[in-house]
Amino acid sequence: MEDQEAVGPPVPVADLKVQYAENPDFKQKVEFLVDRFQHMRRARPDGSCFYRSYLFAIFEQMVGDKERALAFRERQKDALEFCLSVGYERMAIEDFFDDFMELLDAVSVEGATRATLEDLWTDEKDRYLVCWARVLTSAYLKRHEQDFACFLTAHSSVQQFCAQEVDPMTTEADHLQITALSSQLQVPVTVVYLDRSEGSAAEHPFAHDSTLPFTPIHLLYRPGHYDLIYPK
Amino acid sequence: MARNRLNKEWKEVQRNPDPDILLELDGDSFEQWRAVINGPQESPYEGGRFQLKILCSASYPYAAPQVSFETKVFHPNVNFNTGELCVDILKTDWSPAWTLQYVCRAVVSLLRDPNADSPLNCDAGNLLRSGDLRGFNSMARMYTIEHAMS
Repeated sequence: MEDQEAVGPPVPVADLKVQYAENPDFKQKVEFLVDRFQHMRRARPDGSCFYRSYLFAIFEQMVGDKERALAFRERQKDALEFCLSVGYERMAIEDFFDDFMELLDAVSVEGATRATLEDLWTDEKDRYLVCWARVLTSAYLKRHEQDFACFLTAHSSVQQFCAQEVDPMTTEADHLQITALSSQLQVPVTVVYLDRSEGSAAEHPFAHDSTLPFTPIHLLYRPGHYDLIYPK
Repeated sequence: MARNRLNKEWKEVQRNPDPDILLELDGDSFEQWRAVINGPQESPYEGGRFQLKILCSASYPYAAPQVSFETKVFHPNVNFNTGELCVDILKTDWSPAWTLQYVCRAVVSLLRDPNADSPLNCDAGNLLRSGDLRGFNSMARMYTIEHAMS
């Protein structure tokens, strides 16, 4: 798994046609994707693919864009305090937050390009950022416990759900995690599902009512995995 | 990361020690730590002081620390011979947002609330699973007096 880049370079969506050539169940949906999307970036499939794809795309939208970066920074400036308020220890998480904010500054300066972001997104940085995203997700879930508790099926409390399904670095994100993180970050994201069900690929929007100046990010979901996908 | 982070943790435990946990460096490097935890009140471990060995690799905090009991303890989730312990947050549920102090607190909780499923000490597990709480408590108490209270 470590062989694959944390977030890969853009590749044509049409590549999926080759991958699913022998698979009639997916053919129709792949055709739909190729019509609607231009390219995709593959994320390393280690359980953290949702977190890194979503964050990468957020930073990508802030490349060289001061206005977006300012709005996003304003929204995130108290995020460390927010996480401390639900019980995280400062010394355990402040480095993750600092790295997150440093990357924000580094990509939003004039002259920064996508290559700047790709170069800065090292494996070490990736781990810091994924960590931070998980802490933010947990903190949001815990703070809005009453809104989320009724959706739990296999866990006795939001606290337990976070300890088993959000904080550990290998656990995958599902509906609750995506709802929580997108609500905290306020960057709209649409999950496009590619599975064996009938019809065209289903799309599910999250945080589309955000007032931050971002365009919706698209994630391609195949059972157990998320990649970034970009509309035409 | 490991060194920088462990240095912070070291300063923090000195500034803010937990009354039930003595956590200190074992040697000159940040790799090896030693903890002494107090057995929880109203448990058969009460009054005992249990020593833990904690090893942090260079990939800490992304990789969990290795923790084992140095003091013999009769508990379903602790291997009686090796001191190896089975607690979720050191295995599948580890997160880089936890700290060594947090781990020690989890071990104290484990002493307070033994988990009889998937035991590392079958004798202890069987006593609990068969509902023989009295038998379990007296065994755990005996080993506590013998090994953790001298």
